[in-house]
Amino acid sequence: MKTFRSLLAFGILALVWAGCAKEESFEGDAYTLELQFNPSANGEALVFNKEYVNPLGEDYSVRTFKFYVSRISLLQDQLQPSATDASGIFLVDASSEASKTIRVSLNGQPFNKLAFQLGVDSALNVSGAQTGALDPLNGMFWTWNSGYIMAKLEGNSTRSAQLNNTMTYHIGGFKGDERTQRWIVLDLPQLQEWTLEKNSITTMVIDADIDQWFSSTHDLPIGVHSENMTPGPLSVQYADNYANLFRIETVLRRQ
Amino acid sequence: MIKKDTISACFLKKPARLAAAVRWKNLMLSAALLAILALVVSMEACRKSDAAPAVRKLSLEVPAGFPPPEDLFKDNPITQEGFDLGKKLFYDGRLSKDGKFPCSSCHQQFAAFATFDHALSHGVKDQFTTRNAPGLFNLAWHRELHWDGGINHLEVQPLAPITAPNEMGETVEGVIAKLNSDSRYREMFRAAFGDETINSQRMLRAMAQFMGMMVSANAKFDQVKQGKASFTAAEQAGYAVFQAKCGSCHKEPLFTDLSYRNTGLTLDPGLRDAGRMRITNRREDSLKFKVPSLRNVEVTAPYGHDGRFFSLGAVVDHYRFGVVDGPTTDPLVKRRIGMSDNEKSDLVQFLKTLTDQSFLKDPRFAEPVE
Repeated sequence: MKTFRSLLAFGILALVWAGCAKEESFEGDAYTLELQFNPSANGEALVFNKEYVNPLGEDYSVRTFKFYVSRISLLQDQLQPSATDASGIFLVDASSEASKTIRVSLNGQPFNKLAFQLGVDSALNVSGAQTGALDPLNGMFWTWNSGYIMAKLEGNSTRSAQLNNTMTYHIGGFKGDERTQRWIVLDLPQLQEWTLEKNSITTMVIDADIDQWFSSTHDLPIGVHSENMTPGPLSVQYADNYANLFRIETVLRRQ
Repeated sequence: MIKKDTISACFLKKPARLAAAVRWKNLMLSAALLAILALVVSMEACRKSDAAPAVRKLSLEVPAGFPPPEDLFKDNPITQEGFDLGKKLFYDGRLSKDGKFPCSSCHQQFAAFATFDHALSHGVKDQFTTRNAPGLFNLAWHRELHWDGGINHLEVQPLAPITAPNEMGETVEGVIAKLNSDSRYREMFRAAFGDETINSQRMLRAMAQFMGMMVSANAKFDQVKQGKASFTAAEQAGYAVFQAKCGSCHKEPLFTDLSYRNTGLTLDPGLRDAGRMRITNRREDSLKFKVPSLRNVEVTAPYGHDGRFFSLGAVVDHYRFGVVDGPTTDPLVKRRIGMSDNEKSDLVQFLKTLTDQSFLKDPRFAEPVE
């Protein structure tokens, strides 16, 4: 009987240990993917308040550029994602070096595409106060019409008729045909296949070309639209455009 | 980390203490007890080292006959500590830029948390708001808030007045910094949420707990329904008028169906408020505003989204004589509402039975004394 009791106690101890160990072991199985977002304009790294010319021939400069990245996934051809980071939501802010590098832990399946959602899941737009990247103090939450600004671009252009020639784009909207979340699916350079490995970090350097904001799927001249800060059809057009901003420049493996 | 020492102490000492000659049945019983204990200990062991202090749970009161409330507290269980923190925030001027405009400056308890005698309320720098402050009660039954329904969760509601330049004029960052510099707040956040971290989510959740607990369902009307009081003849007649002519939009028991309707008010040329259309971008929503609850209506004057009616009689007369039949005017009122002067008088008497004195004086919602 004594043996039975000891066994019981040992068993319970083991259970307790296993229950706790689950959380601790998470890091050990991780295959780390790092995304480095590099905002650019006119083919060079973005410099704040420097004058650029958009594809429509209009001058512009940038003071603020921020966007949400979520649901980072790896794909093999057009199959279902082989790995998805469902919970991570990241705010990339061109003015913050740290925010431009995102790390997620995924699995070791082979892949040849990267996918992520630009924006915040609709459910998180209606679920009350959020924290972390979604904290309203990040200036990406509309207080008068609840919902997240998925991407924000602010700056100046002589084509803008606003006071001080400002241009202001706060793009959001998550309901029905006002949706501004966009899935970005990017091929790896030279269509190569890749596999994340344990004990090393795979880094993807991703160019975010602001020129595309004004003219890619739609031509949206600053001279016509220098401001847009509400959900609606125009926001949807900007969202169609920002879906074209991104391109993987390089993939590299680091120890 | 696991406190292995503690666990061994729990599991090895106790069995040893048991009498050596326990029967098989007793052993099974102790095994069951041990299993329960193990569960409790394992949950404790996995927690972070500094254990959260105990909180006193509160539950939302759902009055008899009310529909189920919105699922607002799934991730935000209501506790006395959270409620008390929410109350302190609600009454604290530091949530505004100049310190003079707490939530309670526009939401006064004796006016059922509307602004007494003001069509529009005051904000920082001597500015006016652009809409009439609504009363605050039974908010747990509202999926959407504001006259245009732009706010989709009670937790994020306070962000609108806090950051509006003509209301409290602050930033979320500014408020959080002010709260962080006050040790009393750090203590109250710890009591409510387990540690001293002060962030906007915790602040907003505490406020949602306080506001969500405001339930008003003890007016004379409710007492009559429960057989504890009786209407006067005029109130009874007024109730019949109400049921025939008002009750489909101001639906019992909330006295609103929570929909958006154009009641035939002309566009104010100064405010140019298009209402619901501002949120939905749909032309058919032009000039629609949320149907307000008529509970406590006697004390929430003036009336209408811009407070243009200064008495209940004036509101009733709008429906009798003033409705403008525009493209989006509600079919239920577009031909106006026929009503005799006697019926109007009875109706107003009935509406006054919706005043809930116990809510207006409930010390739980009054400004905390410190």
